[in-house]
Amino acid sequence: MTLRNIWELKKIALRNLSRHRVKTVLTCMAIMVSAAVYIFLNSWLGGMAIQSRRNIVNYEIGAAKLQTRLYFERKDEMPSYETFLGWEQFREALYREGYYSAPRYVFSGTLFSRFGSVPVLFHGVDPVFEAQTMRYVPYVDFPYGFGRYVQSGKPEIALGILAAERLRVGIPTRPLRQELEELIAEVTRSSDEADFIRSLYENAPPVRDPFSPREVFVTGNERLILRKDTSSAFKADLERFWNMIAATSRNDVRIRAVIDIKAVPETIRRTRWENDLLPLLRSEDIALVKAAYEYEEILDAYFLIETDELQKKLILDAMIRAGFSGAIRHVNQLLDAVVVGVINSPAPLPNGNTAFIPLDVLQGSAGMMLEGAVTELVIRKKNAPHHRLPGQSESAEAITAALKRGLAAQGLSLPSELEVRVWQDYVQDYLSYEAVQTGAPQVIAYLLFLLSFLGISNTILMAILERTREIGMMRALGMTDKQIIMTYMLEAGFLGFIGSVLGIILGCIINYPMVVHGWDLSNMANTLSGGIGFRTTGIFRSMWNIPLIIGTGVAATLLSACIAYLPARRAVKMPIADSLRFE
Amino acid sequence: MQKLFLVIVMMLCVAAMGFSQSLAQNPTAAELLQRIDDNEIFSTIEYEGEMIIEHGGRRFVKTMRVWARGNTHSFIEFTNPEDRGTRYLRRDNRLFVYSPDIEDVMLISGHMLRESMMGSDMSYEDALDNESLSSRYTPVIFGSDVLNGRDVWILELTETRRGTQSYPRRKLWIDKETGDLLRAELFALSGAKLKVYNVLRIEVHGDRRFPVEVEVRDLLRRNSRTVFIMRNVVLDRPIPDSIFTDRNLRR
Repeated sequence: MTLRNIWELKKIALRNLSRHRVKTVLTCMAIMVSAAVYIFLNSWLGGMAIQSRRNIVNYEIGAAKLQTRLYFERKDEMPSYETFLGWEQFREALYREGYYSAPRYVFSGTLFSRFGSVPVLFHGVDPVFEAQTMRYVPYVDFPYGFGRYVQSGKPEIALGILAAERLRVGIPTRPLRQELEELIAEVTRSSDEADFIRSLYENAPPVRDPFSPREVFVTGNERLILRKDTSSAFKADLERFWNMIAATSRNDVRIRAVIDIKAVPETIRRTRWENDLLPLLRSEDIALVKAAYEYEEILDAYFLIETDELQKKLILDAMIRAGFSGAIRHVNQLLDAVVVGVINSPAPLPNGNTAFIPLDVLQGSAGMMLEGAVTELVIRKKNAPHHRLPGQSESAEAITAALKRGLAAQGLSLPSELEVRVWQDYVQDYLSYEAVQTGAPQVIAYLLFLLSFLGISNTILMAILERTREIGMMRALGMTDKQIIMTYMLEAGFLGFIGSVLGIILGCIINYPMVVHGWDLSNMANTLSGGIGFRTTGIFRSMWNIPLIIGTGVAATLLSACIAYLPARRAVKMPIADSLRFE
Repeated sequence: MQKLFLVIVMMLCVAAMGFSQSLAQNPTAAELLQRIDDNEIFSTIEYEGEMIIEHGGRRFVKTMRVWARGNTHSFIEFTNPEDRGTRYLRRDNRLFVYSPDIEDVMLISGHMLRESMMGSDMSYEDALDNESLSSRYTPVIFGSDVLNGRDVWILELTETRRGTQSYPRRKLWIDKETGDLLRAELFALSGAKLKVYNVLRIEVHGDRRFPVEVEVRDLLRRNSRTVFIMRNVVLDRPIPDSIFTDRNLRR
């Protein structure tokens, strides 16, 4: 069949469509709705996924991390004892090869203010390198957060906004009137200052969001919100307010943490040796550990006899890998610090129960006994575009090769216990969640699509039944079976084409405001304790997925055409004489 | 000559008596610490316990039955209505808890050990701390004082090896007359005070002086204290192995 023949058949197909307008319109609408829903859901979920992934890279993890192998193996326990020294030379090597990197010591603890306590994930950071590598740092500044980022050499903390609100440090963004008056009474010395602070707030608008909890207030104790103003004058006002708070002890906090130190135990009780250690050791490590200890009958315990430091390190690694708690010592620590900044970034992690503290104040007995060690080096390519996910140049292989080259230039090599892992390795749980969250609605959209195709199939089947005599007549006049089948496939294809074009237009119209403005789900996220799973804060933006949009139109047209094949084939199987007699 | 010898012997005896008396009055730091360790050694103990937790203006009372053998095995069963059925089993350094709500046993490990035990001022790690103080700390007599009308020695303990103890420094108040530990303060590595223990009541069991009422304060918890009371204490009576079993925990 030539293209010219198909072009001629197109006229018949279009005429058929115009003859049965009601059916045509209804079927097209079904396809339109399905295509629009499919395009919108995919664009929205895709937008949330890509936004989340960018946030993870830009604000949480970087493109990759350099850590010890054991740290990665036990990363879910956050083993702060798995540290390494000499990060400066690794940073230098990476810098030579075109990568930024920032050292971190990550540990968990509790942060206490005068008003309460919250569990917090602390990051000991080098402020300069951190600002170079990670993007959350500017979000401590106006108009996002308050105060400033930490400075080296001072026991200062930059705190996520959620933790700050819970601890009531810094500038409150949604205080009750009584809470604000208590704050005013504490930080002001004159009525002018009190009025100045009151002028920064306005009454919170009534809650319209269906996801937000309804608040019932006692008269005179309404919810207030900080004015939304991005002018430089308001920035100056907020700085003044922050300084008034900082002049009191309101931002003073205490960090309670436990320093975990790994060390080969000198003695192990026999019961622990038999029940806790040996069963958990890898088979290849058992001989190594057994050779290093000697049983002492009088004390019913095993004593360390190994003196070689290298062997001791191997024994220690074996014990850590086995999860033997006797190889970890814990030392209680309490540190005083002052909150100098509040972070309000587009990613939930830095905004949550997260704190950043200068690495240098954590050295020695007054800190976390680091003595220069860190748990990780976060890595990003120099001038990497923030709107794109890391590419080939930020893969584990590329970074490792660059690191080895950079170290070789200094006459050094990469220690075998260290390895580079990319960001996906750290967020497997999130990626699984994302797959489920984006997959389930897509399945629904697929089902919707399937239903509309069944509708097309039904429409064509009905049309064929109605037009059986007509088909018989056309065949009697000389139309071949192939031409008949092609006519109906074209008719269905046109239905799919018109429906999908309308669906694309409708989908794009719905998608446009979601791309430009997004949907603010921050109230729902707050209600659900700081998140709804995706790694974005509040505003969920859609995206333009052009291949998907075009693909939807093409697929809908082709599938519609194909789905008409079976009923049309059935029609041409009937003998011509029977078709002409068909009632 | 014989008289002279007798006089010398008598003089030596008198001198020796005086010396031993002065030792009793001025014991060394190590002796004081050893006495505290010795006082707390028992082969087994059974008692009915009561934990009164006052926190944030609220008061919670928890009651329990406790069995312990040496410093390696213990079993606690809570009996107050809110926590009835919650059981703890400790074997060596492993602590398991059975919760009737989830009907399962959990191992308390890692960061969980640093959490408050049943909402009290004590952490699980505090509860597991069972080694003798003498083996871990170097004691120094810091001075003497009067505490609640009692003359006391103040003993300062510093960890023998740096970075090995969860509380690198402790301060103990010890009754000069009885050798009882009356108060203990626990410090962080930075020197900040974290916890205070006050012994409120001591019972005499045979030749032992046993603390049966202790107040614990976690200084980072505002308006908080926990009083732990032991009643019907039975020492050194054999306890069957079946008490310290997984089966008993899950029953």
